[in-house]
Amino acid sequence: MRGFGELEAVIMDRLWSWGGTATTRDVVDDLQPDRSIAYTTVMTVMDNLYRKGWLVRERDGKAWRYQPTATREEYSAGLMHEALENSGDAAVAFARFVERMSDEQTQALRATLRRAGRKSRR
Amino acid sequence: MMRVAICLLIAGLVVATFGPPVLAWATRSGAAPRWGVAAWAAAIGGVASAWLAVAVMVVVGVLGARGSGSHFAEWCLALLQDAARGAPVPVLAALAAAALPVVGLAVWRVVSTVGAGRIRGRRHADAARIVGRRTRDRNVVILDVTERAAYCLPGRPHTIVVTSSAVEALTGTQLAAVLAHERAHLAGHHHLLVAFSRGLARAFPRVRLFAEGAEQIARLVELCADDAAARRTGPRPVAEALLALTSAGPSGALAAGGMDALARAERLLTARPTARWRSAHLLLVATTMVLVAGPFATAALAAAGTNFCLLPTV
Repeated sequence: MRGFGELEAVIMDRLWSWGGTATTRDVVDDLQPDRSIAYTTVMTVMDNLYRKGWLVRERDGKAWRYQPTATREEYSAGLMHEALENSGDAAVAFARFVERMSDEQTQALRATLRRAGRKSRR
Repeated sequence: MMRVAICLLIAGLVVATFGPPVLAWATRSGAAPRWGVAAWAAAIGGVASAWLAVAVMVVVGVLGARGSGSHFAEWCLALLQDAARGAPVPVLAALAAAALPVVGLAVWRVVSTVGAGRIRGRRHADAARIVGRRTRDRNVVILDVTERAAYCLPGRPHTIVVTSSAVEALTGTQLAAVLAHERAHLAGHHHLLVAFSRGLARAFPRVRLFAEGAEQIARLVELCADDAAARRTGPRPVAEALLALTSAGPSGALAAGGMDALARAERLLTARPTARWRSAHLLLVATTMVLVAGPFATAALAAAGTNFCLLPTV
């Protein structure tokens, strides 16, 4: 399963960098020089990505033409929003390194660091 | 058995009442945070299991007392009819009837809270692995956004997300400190401690021990992770990273946890008088032992026949 997850990431990466639409054949041809990979494997993974909502597709003769549902930037922003929203949520274990601080607190923290710096240099 | 149940109930109430102020005082300085987490978890776990045991004992006791012959459902129905007619209903029987759904609901709430969080976290991690840029460490991904943030998602495998802006804002050592902090959360299974204690707090919002315990455990695991990071890089890079990753919001609009970052940095940067820390450590160890042993020692004494709670023999 883990290998599939990685392949999902690789395929989405290609599709995002191309910008347009692509068939399974396009993706296989692009991946082939780097790794030996079966057409059916790519087809399965792209079908999975379509089912999970990452890709939209339309018929092109006998094949499907796939396209990312949203840009990478949109997905990134969405994930960040979810992480920020949920960091205070009881249910989700988003252990964020640090929460937001007010300007005054940031100033105080900076002053503390300065003080500690002076002490250690002395 | 009823005497044991009542003793457990009282012991649980004592810990639930006097536990929070004592523990808050003992863990306030942030010395030995691991023992602080242990002490709170012991108090919460001890009280929760003592009360669960009471509920089970009452149910079992009443079931035993109803006599054989009649079916359990019929017996419940008869009890309800008695109550509807205004006839006196045995107190314990009523308690037992009330305890079952309450306990069931509480257990369900805790489990569903934890479960929902797990599912959401895993989905987020899967998406982050597709959207984020991969790094040399296969469990760390970089998300291209303007916010500076770092967080971890437990799972198999664990995922640590760092934003590109955070990477830009941090030096190499500071980034190592942040990663060490997140890895400490994952290695220590902190998410489970936080999720279970918060689930319990949500199921019993009125019980101060659970509500305050959940907050304190969330605070103390951050300190545990800070200490782990400080062991790796020294305390200063951890404190610097805290400053570098704070996204300064509008002044006055203070987000929850904001004060903690300042307190965390100060704690990291102030020298630790070892003697005082050692005594804090010992105090916490002792508190933990008492909290764990207390309720059960009481129950054991009661079971052995000592009329410890000075109750009339039932």
